[in-house]
Amino acid sequence: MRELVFDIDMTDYDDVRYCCSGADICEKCWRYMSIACKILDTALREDFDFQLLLWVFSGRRGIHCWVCDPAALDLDGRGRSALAEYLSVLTANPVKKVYLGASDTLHPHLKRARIIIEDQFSKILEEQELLSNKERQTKVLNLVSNGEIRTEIEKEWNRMGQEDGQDVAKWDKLVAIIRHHQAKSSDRKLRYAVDEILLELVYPRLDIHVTKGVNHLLKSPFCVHPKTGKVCVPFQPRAVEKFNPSKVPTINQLIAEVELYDEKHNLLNKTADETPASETAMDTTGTPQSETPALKQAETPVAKQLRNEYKKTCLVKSIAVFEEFLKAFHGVWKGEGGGGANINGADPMSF
Amino acid sequence: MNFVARKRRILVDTGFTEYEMGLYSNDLQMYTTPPEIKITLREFEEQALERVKVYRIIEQTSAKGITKLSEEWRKAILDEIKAQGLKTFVKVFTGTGLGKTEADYEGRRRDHITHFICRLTYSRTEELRRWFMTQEMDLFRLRWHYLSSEGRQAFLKSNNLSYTSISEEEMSRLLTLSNGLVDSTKEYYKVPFTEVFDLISRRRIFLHKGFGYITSQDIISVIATQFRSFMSKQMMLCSNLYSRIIEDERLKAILGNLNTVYTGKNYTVGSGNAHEIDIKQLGTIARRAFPPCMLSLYSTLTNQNHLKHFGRLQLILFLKGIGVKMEDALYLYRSEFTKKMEPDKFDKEHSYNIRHSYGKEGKRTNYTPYACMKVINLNGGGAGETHGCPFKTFEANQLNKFLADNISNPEPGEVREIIDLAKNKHYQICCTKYFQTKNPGVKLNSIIEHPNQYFELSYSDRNSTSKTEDKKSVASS
Ligand code: SF4
Ligand SMILES: [Zn+2]
Repeated sequence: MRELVFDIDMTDYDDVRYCCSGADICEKCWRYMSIACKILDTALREDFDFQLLLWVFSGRRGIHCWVCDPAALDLDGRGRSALAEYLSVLTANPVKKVYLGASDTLHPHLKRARIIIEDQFSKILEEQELLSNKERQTKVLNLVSNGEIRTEIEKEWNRMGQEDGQDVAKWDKLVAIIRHHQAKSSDRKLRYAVDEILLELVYPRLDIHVTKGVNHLLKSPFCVHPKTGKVCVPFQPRAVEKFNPSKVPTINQLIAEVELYDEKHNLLNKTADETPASETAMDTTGTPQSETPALKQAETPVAKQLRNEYKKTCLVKSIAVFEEFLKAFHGVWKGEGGGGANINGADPMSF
Repeated sequence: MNFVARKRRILVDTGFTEYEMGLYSNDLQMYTTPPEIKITLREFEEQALERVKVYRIIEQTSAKGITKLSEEWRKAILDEIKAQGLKTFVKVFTGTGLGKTEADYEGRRRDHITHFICRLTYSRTEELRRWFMTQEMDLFRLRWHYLSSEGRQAFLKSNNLSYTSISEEEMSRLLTLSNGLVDSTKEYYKVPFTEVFDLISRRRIFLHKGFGYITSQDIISVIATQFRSFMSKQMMLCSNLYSRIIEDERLKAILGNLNTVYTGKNYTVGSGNAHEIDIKQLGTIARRAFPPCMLSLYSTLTNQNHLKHFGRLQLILFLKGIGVKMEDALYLYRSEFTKKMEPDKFDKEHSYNIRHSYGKEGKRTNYTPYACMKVINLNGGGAGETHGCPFKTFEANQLNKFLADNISNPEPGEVREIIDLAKNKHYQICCTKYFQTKNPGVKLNSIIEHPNQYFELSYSDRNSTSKTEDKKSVASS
């Protein structure tokens, strides 16, 4: 038994990001991550009915998703492979990695992904300046497999000139030309020409080996990344756009925050027992642990102080995300162990 | 009340017990419980053989290159089953599911019994198990096709396969959700996603909230997966059982042979297919009309003046079958062997065996010429051995040479095709192709299953063409 995991690494997007490269990550390239998170999160919940999803920023250049539902933990190698393949679209073809086939319908999962991408694609075009020079244009052009159409687009783009800020206009032109051809030709290969480009550029680039295997190790939440010193923090998929990877604290920042807090509240010379005065107000868990006399006795004042130090820092939010996850986790797994009464929802004796 | 007695009570109007009526309520079954019947050894063998014939028909139809599970494939199989007079099977294999006539129950019982006999027979080795499973799986899929919607529902229900068919309301919701992937004209079932991994990985299925929605065509792949995994477990159990059962000599004799038994025409002498063979002409006849297995033995005999034990036997029985008289056979072997061996030694060591093969010595059994199955299973190919089926025993280059030597003007790719077929172990198909290139004028309605059948088909053809050739040469001289 182990969690079903997904791993997306920013370096796999190096051919479509011009803001940073390698292990760097900024708000602009985070957009790719946030789209990836949205697409996968929706598919895992809607298609597979998973609920216990923990999303974390690895502290450096990637995101992970841990799926902890009983059905996910039960998956064998075959099942994990099937899910990984269902959720990835890139093939081994080095030039054109996405081919959606000539069938009549686009699989609902891909259609949904395309809508999510389309929604933010003009922002990507602008932020990454995807079509701002010849070289970048060629890259995108190469994704149009029909030669005739490709030349036509190229001609139109040349006519438009090479001034800055035309990325969206150029893209719109490309779409218009393809749509035009789609309308008058019956070539089935053209059917998904635009979708293929969108998916190839932006669809989540999963490291499927991590998902397929059962012995890949992923960094656990809240550990500190050895290279960056950043903490590996969970985030809320519904607020993924607002998450800013450059604001993730490093261990040094955290220490400084604690000191600052103590200074501000003039706590430096007081004993642990009296700190912090506002404990209950800050307790995000709502669990009455600290009020339990037994626990109070068992715990040394120093340990207790340390256990609560995080509350003086910006990690408070991340911990809240984690605790929300844990709560859901207990809910589901209690039902799992307790004869299933919770799972079916309806306890016949209660009304 | 005696429950057992009641359960076993025979219903007067059908001749079946209530228990059996339950067991045999559907044309298709998963064979979960072994039959409990008394059956004579003779019936046991006869019925099992019939099912073996069915397996072979399925195998050969697929090997002919007809797309598996296609309409054409189904038709070819059923036509052949009919042609071989296996009526009971046709009825149960094409049944819609819930028929209630006595004949329906009869067919299902036979299906049940024969399946179990074969399961036992084919449980012996890994190779046999795999072969058996392949044919059974194909048969299962073929039969599913004919089940009616009610028959399928009933099958699912009685096997605790809880695939719910979906309501109209749910259907209309799916139509919107699925972006056209769900087709309103088809019937759908709802299955947990964990049972359709192969469809998921190819994104060939619509998923929603942990369930896959599959058509009744696709559901067979789910059920087949379950049937396969159940069967492969059962086969392992069976192979243990087998070793205990064959302690009974009579059963051992039947079960041990079932997989190699030849199910076609009998070629023993006296069954009316012998020709007048002029022993002096045998070389010419061999090159023209012998199947590869016999031709290669004949060549070894005449070139190396010797044949090892199994080779001698394989060839002599064949010769007997095509009509070579015992005296002529003795003459042939003697004249060749004695080129390297003292005549005395030959008479002492070999003449007896030749006479024995002709049934003129010892128990005077009229031994039957070997069918392809038997020849193929002789294995051969050991040092100095030429018996067995060349398509199996020859190395690729050896086979290549043999084909080049014996097919005068091969079409491009023909030789390659045969070699590929041999690689894939379709020996009899190889032989059929070989036959066709050598005898383009003969129309075959089945594949080669017996060396003597091969001979008969090609000899009669050659006979007539060579006669016309003779006439021609007379005219031109
Ligand atoms: S297939 Fe049969 S007839 Fe043909 S060579 Fe092999 S054993 Fe002989
Ligand atoms: Zn960046």
